[in-house]
Amino acid sequence: MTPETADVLLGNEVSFLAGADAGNGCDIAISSRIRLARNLAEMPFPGSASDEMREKISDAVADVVDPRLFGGKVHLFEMASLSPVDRDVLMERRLASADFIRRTGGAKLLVRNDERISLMVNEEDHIRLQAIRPGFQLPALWEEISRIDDRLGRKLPFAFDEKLGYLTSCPTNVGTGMRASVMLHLPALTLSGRIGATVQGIQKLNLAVRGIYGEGSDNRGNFYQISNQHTLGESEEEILGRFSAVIDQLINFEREARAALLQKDRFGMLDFVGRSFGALRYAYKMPGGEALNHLSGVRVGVDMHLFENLDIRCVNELWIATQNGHLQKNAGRELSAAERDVERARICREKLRQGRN
Amino acid sequence: MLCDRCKKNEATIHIETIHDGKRVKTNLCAECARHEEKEGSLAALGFNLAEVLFHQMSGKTSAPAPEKESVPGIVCPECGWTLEKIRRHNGQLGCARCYETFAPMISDVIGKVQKGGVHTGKRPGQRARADGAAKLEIERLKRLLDDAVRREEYENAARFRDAIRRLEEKSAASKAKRATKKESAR
Ligand SMILES: [Zn+2]
Ligand SMILES: [Zn+2]
Repeated sequence: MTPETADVLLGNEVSFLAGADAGNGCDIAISSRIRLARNLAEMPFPGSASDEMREKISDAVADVVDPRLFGGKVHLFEMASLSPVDRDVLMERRLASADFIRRTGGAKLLVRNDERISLMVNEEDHIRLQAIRPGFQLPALWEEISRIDDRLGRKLPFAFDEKLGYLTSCPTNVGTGMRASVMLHLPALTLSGRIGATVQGIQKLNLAVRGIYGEGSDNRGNFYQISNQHTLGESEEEILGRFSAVIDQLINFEREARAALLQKDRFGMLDFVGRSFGALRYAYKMPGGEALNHLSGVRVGVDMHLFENLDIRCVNELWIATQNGHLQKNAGRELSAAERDVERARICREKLRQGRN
Repeated sequence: MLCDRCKKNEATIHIETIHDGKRVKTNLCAECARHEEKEGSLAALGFNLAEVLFHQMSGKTSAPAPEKESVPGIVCPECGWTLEKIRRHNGQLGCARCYETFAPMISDVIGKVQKGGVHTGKRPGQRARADGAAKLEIERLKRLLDDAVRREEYENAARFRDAIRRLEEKSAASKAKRATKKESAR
């Protein structure tokens, strides 16, 4: 396999964002992901391995990952030989972690053509296998990732302990090595001030919550990433079952909160949507964090069927197109922060002027 | 605005987390965010493995570990790492053998951050339970069915009921198929 640049992915539909065929649940649960951490037996973890050793490890993994194992054409990316913009593109498409794209010696990324399956070699662990899809669909993800993990396990000797399970570089991942996460859009819970209590409740159930926040004074962090905290002591199915029940409940809470807000403060809700649309449609400087907040507002409008001319696909395309890496890739050159704000605003204006093609 | 962590670089990433119902805002530079951002990292989970390890070694319970403390000489025979080295790597271990080398400290950490101490999930080489995913999906559909009934959305309820029936038939059929396969293999 020859290493490629991120250009080969740019024509793809983004794996974790719904297209025009967006199904049920995509309105609140934006995407689901499962990651499995695995290490090769008898090899030092990436943190203590020499560059040479890491190269050896990445060769060994890349050797067995073929189209049959992954279930489709495989692309290979080498962090050391990619430009910073290319690395940002991989991170924004959620194929590589922020930590991973800054690694060099032996840091390789294998991506299935549809980007729904990928594998980081020499991140914190030798292997971080990932499956990602739009909407809320953990069972399907688990079935697929577990099958690929089975195949990998037949070709590579994994570090495994009878008592502790899969041994990982950090004891927070030991056992199943599994981290499931769902990205939720919870504007109504946030607007109605109930998010604090909700998050507290989730944390009591041993799930981790992260807000994805923008910048500026008017911060409305409406996107939340929820993931399982424990990896040892329960089977994968038990973890996923418990996790799914909480997510279903959160989706219900948000739906109820939206209905209640519409009834109680219809104009407040419409104002949030309208201001967001106005800013994206007419502004000439748009910082990244602000764009994220406004995209949340426009997304609510789409969910409420307020726009004739705008669908979720369009909002999703903007989500990706307005991020730094994709912005610069599209411009064909590196841009300063100020230039990025101007370019981001331009892309938003154009996209919202055209609306649905 | 300067980065809260290194207090050197310009903060470009603003993260809000919620602790005990209160919002806590952290402003970070890109470099520091990389450490904070790691999903499942000790920092993200609110734990400091390094501190846990050091308090155990020194018998302290609350004071932060001094920057340079000479660590009693446990060295992993495989990777050569010490507790000091693990501390500097944010609680990451050097190799699989470290689990044995530093067993008492690690089991203490596991007791704090994990749900149990024994792995009950899948194993390498062994195929995952074929009906695991189907079972998950059925559980979820049953919850959706209950919700729909509660909200008196009977059309949706019927849809979920059909989907559950289809899945249950399918998994029963594949179970029977596996049984006959086993039979004939004998
Ligand atoms: Zn910093
Ligand atoms: Zn070691």
